[in-house]
Amino acid sequence: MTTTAQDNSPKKRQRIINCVTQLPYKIQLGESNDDWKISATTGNSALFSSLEYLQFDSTEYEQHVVGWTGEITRTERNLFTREAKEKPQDLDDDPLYLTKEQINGLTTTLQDHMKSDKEAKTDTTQTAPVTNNVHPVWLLRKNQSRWRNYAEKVIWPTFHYILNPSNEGEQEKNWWYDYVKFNEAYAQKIGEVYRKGDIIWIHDYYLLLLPQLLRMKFNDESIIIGYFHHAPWPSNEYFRCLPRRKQILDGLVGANRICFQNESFSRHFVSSCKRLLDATAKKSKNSSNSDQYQVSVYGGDVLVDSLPIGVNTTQILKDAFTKDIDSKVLSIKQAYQNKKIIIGRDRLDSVRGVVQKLRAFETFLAMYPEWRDQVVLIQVSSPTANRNSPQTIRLEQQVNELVNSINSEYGNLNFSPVQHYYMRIPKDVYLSLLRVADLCLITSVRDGMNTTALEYVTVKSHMSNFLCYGNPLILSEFSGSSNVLKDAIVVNPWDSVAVAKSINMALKLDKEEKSNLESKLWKEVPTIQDWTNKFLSSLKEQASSNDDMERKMTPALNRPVLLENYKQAKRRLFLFDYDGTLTPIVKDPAAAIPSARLYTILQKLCADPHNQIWIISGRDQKFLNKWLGGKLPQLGLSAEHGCFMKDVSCQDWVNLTEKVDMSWQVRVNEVMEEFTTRTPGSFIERKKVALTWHYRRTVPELGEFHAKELKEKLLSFTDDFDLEVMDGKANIEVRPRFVNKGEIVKRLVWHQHGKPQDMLKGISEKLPKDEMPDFVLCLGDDFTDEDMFRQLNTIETCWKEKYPDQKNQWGNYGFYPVTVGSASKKTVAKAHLTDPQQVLETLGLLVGDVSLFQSAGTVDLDSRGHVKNSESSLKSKLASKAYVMKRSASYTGAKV
Amino acid sequence: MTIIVASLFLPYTPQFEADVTNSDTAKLVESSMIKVDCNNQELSNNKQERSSSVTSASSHYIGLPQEAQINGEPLQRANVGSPATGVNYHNEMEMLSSEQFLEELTANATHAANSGIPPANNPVSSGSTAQRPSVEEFFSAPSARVCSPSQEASASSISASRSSAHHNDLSSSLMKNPNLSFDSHPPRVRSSSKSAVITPVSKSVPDVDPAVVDVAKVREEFQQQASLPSMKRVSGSTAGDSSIASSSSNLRYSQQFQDNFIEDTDSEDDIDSDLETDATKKYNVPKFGGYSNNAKLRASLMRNSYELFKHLPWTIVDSDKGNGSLKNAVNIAVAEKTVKEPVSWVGTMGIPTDELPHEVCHKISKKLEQDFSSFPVVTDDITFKGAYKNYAKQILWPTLHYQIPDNPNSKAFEDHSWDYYQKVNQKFSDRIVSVYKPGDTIWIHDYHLMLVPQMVREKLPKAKIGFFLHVSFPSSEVFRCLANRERILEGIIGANFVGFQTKEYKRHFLQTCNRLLAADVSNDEVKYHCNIVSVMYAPIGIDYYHLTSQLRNGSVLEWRQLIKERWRNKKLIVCRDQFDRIRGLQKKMLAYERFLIENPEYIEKVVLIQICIGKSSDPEYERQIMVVVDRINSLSSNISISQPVVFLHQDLDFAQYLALNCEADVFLVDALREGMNLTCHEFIVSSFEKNAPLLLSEFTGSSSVLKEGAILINPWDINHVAQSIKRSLEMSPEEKRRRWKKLFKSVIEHDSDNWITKCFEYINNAWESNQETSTVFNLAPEKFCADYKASKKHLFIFKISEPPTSRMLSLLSELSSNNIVYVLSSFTKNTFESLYNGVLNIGLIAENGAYVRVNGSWYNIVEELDWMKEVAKIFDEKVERLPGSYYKIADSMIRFHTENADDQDRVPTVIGEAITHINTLFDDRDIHAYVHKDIVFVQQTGLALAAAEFLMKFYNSGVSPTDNSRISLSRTSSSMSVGNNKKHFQNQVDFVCVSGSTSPIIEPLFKLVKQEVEKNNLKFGYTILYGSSRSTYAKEHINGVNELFTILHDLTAA
Repeated sequence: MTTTAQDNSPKKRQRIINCVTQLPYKIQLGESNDDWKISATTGNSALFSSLEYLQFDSTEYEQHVVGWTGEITRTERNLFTREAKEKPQDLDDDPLYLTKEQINGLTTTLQDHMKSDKEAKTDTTQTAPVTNNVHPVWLLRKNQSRWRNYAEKVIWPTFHYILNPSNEGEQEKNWWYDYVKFNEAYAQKIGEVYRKGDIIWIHDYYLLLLPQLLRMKFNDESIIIGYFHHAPWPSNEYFRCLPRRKQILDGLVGANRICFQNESFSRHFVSSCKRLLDATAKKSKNSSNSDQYQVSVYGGDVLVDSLPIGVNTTQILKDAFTKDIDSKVLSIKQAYQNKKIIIGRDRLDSVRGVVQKLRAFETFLAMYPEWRDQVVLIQVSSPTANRNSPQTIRLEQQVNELVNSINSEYGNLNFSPVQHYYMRIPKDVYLSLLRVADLCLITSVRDGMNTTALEYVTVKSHMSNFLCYGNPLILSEFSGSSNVLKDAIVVNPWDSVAVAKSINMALKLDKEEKSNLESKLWKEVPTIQDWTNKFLSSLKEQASSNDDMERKMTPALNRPVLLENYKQAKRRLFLFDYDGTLTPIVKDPAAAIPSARLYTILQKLCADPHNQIWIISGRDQKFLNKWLGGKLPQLGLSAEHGCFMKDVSCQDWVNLTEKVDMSWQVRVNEVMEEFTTRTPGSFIERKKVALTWHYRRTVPELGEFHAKELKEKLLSFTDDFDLEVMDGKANIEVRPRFVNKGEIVKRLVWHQHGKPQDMLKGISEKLPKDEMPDFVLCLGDDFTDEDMFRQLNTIETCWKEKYPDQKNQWGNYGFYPVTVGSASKKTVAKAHLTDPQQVLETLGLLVGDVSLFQSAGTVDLDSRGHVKNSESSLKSKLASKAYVMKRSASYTGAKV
Repeated sequence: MTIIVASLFLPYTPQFEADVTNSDTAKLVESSMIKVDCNNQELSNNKQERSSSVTSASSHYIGLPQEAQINGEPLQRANVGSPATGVNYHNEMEMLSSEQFLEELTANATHAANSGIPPANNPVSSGSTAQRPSVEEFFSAPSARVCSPSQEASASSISASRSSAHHNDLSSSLMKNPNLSFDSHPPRVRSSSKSAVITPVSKSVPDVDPAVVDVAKVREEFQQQASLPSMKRVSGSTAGDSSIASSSSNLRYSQQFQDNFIEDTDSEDDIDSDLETDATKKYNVPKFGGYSNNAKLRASLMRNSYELFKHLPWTIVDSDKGNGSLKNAVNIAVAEKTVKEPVSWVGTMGIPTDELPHEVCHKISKKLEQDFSSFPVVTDDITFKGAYKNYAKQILWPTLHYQIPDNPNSKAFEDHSWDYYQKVNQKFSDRIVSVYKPGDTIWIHDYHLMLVPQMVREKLPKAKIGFFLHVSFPSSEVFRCLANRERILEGIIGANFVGFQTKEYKRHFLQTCNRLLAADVSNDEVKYHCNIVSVMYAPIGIDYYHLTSQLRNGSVLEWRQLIKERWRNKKLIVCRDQFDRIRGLQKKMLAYERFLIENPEYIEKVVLIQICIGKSSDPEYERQIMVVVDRINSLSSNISISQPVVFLHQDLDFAQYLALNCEADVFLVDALREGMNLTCHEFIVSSFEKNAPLLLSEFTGSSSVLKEGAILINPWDINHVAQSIKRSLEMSPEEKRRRWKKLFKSVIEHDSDNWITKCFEYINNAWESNQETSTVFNLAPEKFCADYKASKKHLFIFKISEPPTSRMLSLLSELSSNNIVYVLSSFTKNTFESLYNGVLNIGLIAENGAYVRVNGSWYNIVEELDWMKEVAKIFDEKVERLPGSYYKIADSMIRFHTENADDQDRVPTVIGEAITHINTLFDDRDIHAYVHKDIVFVQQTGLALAAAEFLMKFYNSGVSPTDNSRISLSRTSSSMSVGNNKKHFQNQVDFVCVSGSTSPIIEPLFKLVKQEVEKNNLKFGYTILYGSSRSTYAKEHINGVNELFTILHDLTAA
């Protein structure tokens, strides 16, 4: 479903692909799946007003919205079945079998809806309308809330500082797979919409994996991805509690720019990147004088900064001051004559601090008896999406109890000091409440940005009758808005005595003080127009400056593609480094022995006759023989960066260095000895051809210093011997120049696949292509492994010239040079994996041990979230057909 | 030169012993028995029990009497019961406990199997219940086998006790909720015992609404009822029963957070210590157990109890409460003379004191002071409980462990419990002050006493105070949820030295101080209110030698043999945790379950033994765990052959525990947060033969110490933990050995001696360096403020080198609305303006004085600029020689940067050369190069001074301020160096404040101000230096720029 946008408007506008969690519409299906109802949803007002602004008012941008349809509900059939229909499980049980035509029809209706919105709202003097710019992501399936589970039950609590110790592992795993699929479905949809030069803007924590996914998908394009995080980002101490912490971070850093609501969130994020991904970051100030970080990951730079979201102030003011609202304000005012009105509006979840608010109010009434009977707290709590979770139910109980106890303690027959409304309220009521309030009380315990606060300040900025101008705002310091509204009365919601005192103080402010406060506050309210434009213009800026930057980010390894290629390939070659790739780096090299899981996987890989597996390591023969060769003779081994080789399924080692003059060793040894005595803790490792000076056990500074010196000294004479001096991880190695992992790779690739190697023979580049490997997975983490990658890249270029028409369906030759490990590394590899753990997962995927959705990759999904053409996809197709037939039968039957 | 160690509990506690044959006491004891049991047993049962309860003194493991035995100096308890049967009895005891041990296992096994079925009192409904007898038989079989010939003599008594145990067990599992059944221990029959240890029971703190409560009134009500006799037997004790227990007393509680054991003394805790119970539960004020309906008994007891404690004999014994690791460390250090100074303790006695007659209490105190150099702090029970249970345990402790309480049970952030906490801290402080002699070191411990350092400091400004936090310190985002956060932080940094377990906690603390107090912090210092507090980390440890000697103990060896036989051919995974949500018990079980499901071949080969210490106060959590345990055990095809999880809801005898450690194949710690975890240290030492691997949560403090050898796991990642379990079970002997050696090394490196010496070293260093710096004049904020008010026209010049924070900006704009304020910096005019564009009336002095912005327009101070080209040439040359360095040319100055230079070692040389080069060439032209913070500045000299003089002249002669009323005091013939506008002298600036960190720029200004004051041209001159400096013209000193702004804030607010 590609768009057919007409660019016949006079000015070509920048296209924006706006990815939101959910389209701002609620879809209701009638009984027959052919009649549906679409209405606007509430919630996330800031984001939706930004969408609206881009849609109708912006002349600069052409917006395309990509979003999930949200849970599709059914309108009740008729009054008689209504009872049955309202059972909550009904929503989960509905399999939602929609035919292709129905889906297309719905899509068109959605797009028309956006247009008709526009016609209603704007005058026709605007630029030409953009049609077909709503792109729903279809994920129809039973139990539609599944797509939310991971985001709402795992990520959301952690990001709001709630640790949830009791979710069971198996469940979490399934939630995660759904989360990955959710992101993949977006990537797929964006793939249909995207055109070169588009800016992709991703919103919020449901789509944390999407940036990297897009980077994988559009590997060669200079794609611009911005991400805005609406929720808080927690301190690393909390973030690291997530089991998938690395994958999430890795997913997010695929973006070019990651933006948060305030500086402390961005700081937390950067510190997580530093600790978990081992990234580096440079801090500076941006043009609006807030902190900005340049985080270097996988060879590219990610800009991390903050830009508080705003509200549509003009629209609010327009809506809030109408005749209709005036009359409503008056009636509220009359109902609570001579009483101060305190307003609270929150979503009722555990971080909005409704409980804290009530307790503070209780304390206030207790501490200041003179205010009893003089004050009313009107608290409007809107229900959350998952209203039936035990946490919400518990919270409801708490709130109810508190309300009751306050009302019974301080109320009387005809007056209750707390008026609690647990419902969604219509906008006009909300606005009139904002207008009538003498005080607004926001005590949230954590939130990203509290738009109620912004809207309240906006409404109060306007002169009107009833003495409502400039009434004060009490704001929790834990809310993201407190960083914006610096002049509000800021409180610590956990300290109810302090909040009570602040309420008293706020109610006692005189007119002048109030207007003073308001005038300061009003200036601080960001508008949504500003926010949208600033975000987009700085992204655009980045886009243009990116062009002259040569540094390209290495995307994560696209594992589904790898798997597909693996399945189709017949001559597969695996080239693995050992330390840091197959096992984690440890301080004592002797301790890095293979894990049982690694054995199992290698065994399975070896079992396939199409596979040739080589371990190419810097280690010596003894170690490799003992831990790998001895147990899995099918492995090919190469020791000491290629000086010694043992062919696949062969026992004997071949020494490639026999013919070389080794007199240099004495000389180098002398120099190294000298440095060893000078550097306590360092030592020399004597391999058969190479000499390595290790300094990982020394005082780091001293070690590094001497290493530098040693290198200089060695370089002064090694050229004469044709030696190479290499910097490794806390070591310096000297070896003959021809000994190099790259040389091995060359030998292995330019070789008849599956035939024994003649190690001493030279390389022939005349082999026919169909005797050489058609799948090469090369994994390494070290500096020395870069030689392998480089060699593979060279071969690829060479093949491009030689066999331009023998590429596979992905447009390459099946070469996968992949670097493993820290994000700060520079590499020539084409893709990355974060750690040896992920390496095992990837290999596990190839042998069928691991789910495809363990980590994100580009997978084609059908409209139900199954892999396209997979068994389950076909099954559901059949079921869908059967369902349609049955339904039409019963429908016609009913008609008859 | 004493070391005063203040910890919540003294290491000694008084112990009352009642003669249970005396009828009055017997009744009391009996009544408390009833009270204990009535929670979960029916009355009929009670009756049955009662007849025997006099003799069957209960035998909680936890309460086993602690015989003081520190380093071979046994402290004999005065009241020794029947020693005649000594040897025989001894054997019997051992047998009995072995019996009991296995009994426990079986009991739990059956309960676990049962717990899935809610109505457990239906014996036929579940298969496992029907199966029980055979299970029992099976489990008792091995123990019968162990009943070797030598012990045949006691066989009859064993079988007797076994049968009674069985009876008890069966009845308990039938009658009770299976989840609570852990409480039932089979009573030991001991006819020889005559005396029982009893402890008074305190009243619980009323749980009333915090906002409305009239505390005094409630308290009064309580005291009216205070004569209620409430006590509970801690344990039945006889002389003979504890050779095993006593030998272990020292290390038994070396685990970190043992101190919540105070719960043992009051039975009400079962209910109210709970953090996470259902929010809807509402507890009424006093609950006095089950005997409240027995009015008659109550009346008679009321009379008796007070009398009772008056006459009862008491002795001082080792306390089992409090921080075991601290006690061990200090005691060992004293015994081995690692610490040469005498040590005295300050703490509470560890028993409720309201019930004690005053004179008894007094006598006990005296005894403790004289014989044990322990100075007890006596508070009334309500205060203590309010502080300890309500504040420290329910608010502080969870928050320090990243659990932000969100639930009304723990409301009370503003609760009066805070008042109690303050009160208890104040009591401690008073006590310390009363004990203190000049020269003493005061060392305060843990989160119970966080306010004490500052409180002591107020009384004893010169004292040497150290503070150590044994638990974790959270990230500032969490800590700031506390209502009294500032007070707590200020309380802590009253000390000279603050210690933490790990680097991470230390870093969090420093950050928190910086964010919440706006204190100036460096890597290991907090500077706040003119004090410098050193902040370090020193992980606590155990004493290896002490533990090894215990491992060689005969009973440990016997137990090991037993365990080996019992679990022949099985791999043992051992865990020992406190029972609470933070220890990750559920996660652990889930991971273990995952492991077994993925590797079914292990189901019959592995046994996980989970020991829980502390009692459960969280039935819901317990239920959740038991569900998983149940699930796991049902994986086994035949539970009588293999039971994959053994869940012990109580602590083991220490010897047993050590034996288990020795035989463990894996030790697993899965805590979600923990300050330190010394159980794994103990395990490492114990595992000297098997070298079993240690799986350690990365969220424990120990992981920072043991990260080399342990396998670190993320408890939140169940999958990974499951894989790690497999990995550790399959580890090769070589790797085990290698890892164990590393672990062992770090245990020895971080042993308790090391900890003590390090801490004292830090305390002393911190104190000494504080002595030095206190000779520099610190700015006295009060005088500053007073002088400010006493003068009319104020000129402030701040040298601020960094970009200003928003706090600075708002304060500056506040300040500049009434005063003349200038900021001096090396920034160029443009940067400077953009940085400060939000501050309306502020004056700027750019490029170290070259340009001055007065009322919005720039004035040039600098005259000569033609030298710049020549200097630039010189730098070109330097840049060539030092790749990576660069220089920038501003309007009046050149800066040479080397921070990116490739070769940092050559930087000093190049800089040195450049400076000499330039200074020799341009000296006569007043062009000067100097280095400040590794940047070379080249500029005309004296610009700042000239700028200041220009400003003085300007303001002394310029436009008169809006309101001038009184003539200032300072009058001299000539004004500042250049100016001579005599007619305006009454409008002269009479208050000048110059501040900055020392540099060649600011020093002349300091000097100028000083001269002007000396010449009486200026009424008040403040020269405030922040940061450190050796020689300066400044008069006042302040620790950092944040502190300066705090004072300015007060100034503008005033």
